[in-house]
Amino acid sequence: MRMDVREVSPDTNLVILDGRLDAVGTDAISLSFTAAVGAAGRHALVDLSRVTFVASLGIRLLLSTARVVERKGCRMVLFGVQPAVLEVFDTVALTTIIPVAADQAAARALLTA
Amino acid sequence: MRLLRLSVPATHAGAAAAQDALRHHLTEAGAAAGLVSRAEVVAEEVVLNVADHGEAGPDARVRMKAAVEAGRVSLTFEDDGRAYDPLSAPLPPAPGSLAEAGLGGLGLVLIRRLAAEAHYERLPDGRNRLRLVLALP
Repeated sequence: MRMDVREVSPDTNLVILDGRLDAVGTDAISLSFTAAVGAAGRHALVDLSRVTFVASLGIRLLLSTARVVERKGCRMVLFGVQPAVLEVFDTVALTTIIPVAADQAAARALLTA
Repeated sequence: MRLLRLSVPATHAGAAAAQDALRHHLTEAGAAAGLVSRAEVVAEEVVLNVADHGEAGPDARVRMKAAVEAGRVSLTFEDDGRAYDPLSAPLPPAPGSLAEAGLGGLGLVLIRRLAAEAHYERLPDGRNRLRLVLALP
């Protein structure tokens, strides 16, 4: 699992994940994801278009980080979710509490919605 | 019907090894991509449950069997951990908000909701056996 963080505006980061958010993949990025997203004090657009797998550890990382972002008065929006990953998100009702958009533009629009 | 038999350590690396083997075997056996993906999810959840809650020690292992028949994927997991029925443990409530959302129990939700059929038994020799059938709607 690889992670890339880019500033898209002074108050928003784009985080691109590439690989599997399985137990090993989540272990690989957990600290850096929390630091880059949770601690940044900025909105986060998380690009999941290159994430091919997720299970409970990966979901817990997204949830815990989204909570930290929210406590700082910012939002985390996921986008580009592949169908197999979306099925897992829907199974645990993640999409009811973390916004999911089709693409980056739609995700960015949700930040100000 | 070709059967996959595998034994993996109850660790994150063991879960990854189980997923790799399942993905290869089930794909070759003609399972639908959606079922292969579900199999990988439940395999990770079962292995990590044994690691985190099985109290079977650092050498804990999970034995797996997998097969495809009539388009359905059958999975069997066995471990030597303490008696634990993942099908009867209470599930976390649906989250009302991000602030209220619990971080625990998600693996149980995935196992129970992704499987079309699920059976647990505690074997006389002290092993847990969990059988799951995955099928597309």
